Amino acid sequence: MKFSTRDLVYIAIFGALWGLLEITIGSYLHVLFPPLADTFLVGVIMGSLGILTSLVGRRFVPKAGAVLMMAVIAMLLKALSLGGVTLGPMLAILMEGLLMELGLLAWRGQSPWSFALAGALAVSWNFFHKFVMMRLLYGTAIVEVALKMAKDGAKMLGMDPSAVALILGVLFVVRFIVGALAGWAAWSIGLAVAGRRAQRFETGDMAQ
Amino acid sequence: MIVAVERRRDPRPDTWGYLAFLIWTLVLVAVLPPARLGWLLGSVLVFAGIWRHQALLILLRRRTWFTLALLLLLSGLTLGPRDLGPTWFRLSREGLWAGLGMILRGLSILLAFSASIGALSVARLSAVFERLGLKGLGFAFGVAVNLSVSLQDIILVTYHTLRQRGAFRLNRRLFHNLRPFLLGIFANALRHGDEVVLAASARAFDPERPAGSPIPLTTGDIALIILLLAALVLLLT
Repeated sequence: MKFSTRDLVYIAIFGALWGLLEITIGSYLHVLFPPLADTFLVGVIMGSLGILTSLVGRRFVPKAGAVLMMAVIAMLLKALSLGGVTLGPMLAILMEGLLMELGLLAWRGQSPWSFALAGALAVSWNFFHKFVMMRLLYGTAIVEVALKMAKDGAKMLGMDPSAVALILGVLFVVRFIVGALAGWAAWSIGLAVAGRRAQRFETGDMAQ
Repeated sequence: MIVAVERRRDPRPDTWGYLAFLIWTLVLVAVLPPARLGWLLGSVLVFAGIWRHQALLILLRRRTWFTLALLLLLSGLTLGPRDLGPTWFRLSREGLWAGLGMILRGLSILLAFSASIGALSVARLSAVFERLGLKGLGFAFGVAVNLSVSLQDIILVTYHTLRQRGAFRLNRRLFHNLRPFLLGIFANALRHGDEVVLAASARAFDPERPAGSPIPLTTGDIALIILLLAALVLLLT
């Protein structure tokens, strides 16, 4: 896919905004809720914010690969931040970008539904991310991670901890819905931003 | 994929060597059995000590050691049966060993990233993308880095403007008020972007035109890649 200079600058802007969110809010949240203790909250919040930002950007660069490029930029900015290189968030950002692209490709044309699907797929990665990272960094078995996730989920949802499959299913569906809502919100906000820009063009403010 | 490579006689590893080292570490972290992780960390420490000693500064940070100690303690408290220590503070032997493995993996990755990515400038990273055929990503990354400060200002100004109007009071309209906040940020950021586009056009920038000189493949890079391959075989057999 060929990108014009305008496309590339917009990709840079939305990628940088996503990266800034990760560097500031993401770092704070990771300190407040350490990755080993938290299996839900930080990933869902940061995933939703990243999706919201990049999908608003996608409205202004409606080309395949744009969201993935934003994700790569956000990931690199996170890597170069003062907090240092953190593999977990970097992998999560990249996978979210990839899954958003997949969602947008699966649903032809830009619509609130395609954005919702892209968002839902991307936040769903958060569920599998814990398994991958625990295996990669700490060598923890999948069953152990699933049990820990179910234990935390049971506490949060007020469910019986023995219903592991049900708890994991609920946690996955919650992520899917939150992602879809973030995608839908991105469509709506993108529309409003485009409207505001069109207003500016009409009033001649852009020429200043 | 087009990779323009220019050979250069230099005994020190450069961009390609650092990237090869990073990939090597990540592969070994994923596949190496726990008993050999010490060797990996040792190799990473030697690499950083020889070619990028600034990366070792993270070992002087209190935060690094606090995190690692917390990791070890949490593993000792949560994994396996508690069979070690006095009755009032029992830890799990199995958990402590698992925690040690986590520390070795975590430290190896942390040091490898600091030693490799930390050694590359923004311009060099941009050039790597261009050379790997990812046209435009280098330019976009450069713009993103340079615009980061302006974007932070935009976010702050929008936040303070709306805060002074009472938009962030903790009430049931808080979420409703977040919308103008996001709208303000995105609209202003795009307006800033339009100025960058105008500036790039004025300088006749063309994303299709190759930019910069090729990244040299030094003799140090080649030697390091051979060494890494040999070490990979040794550690895996």
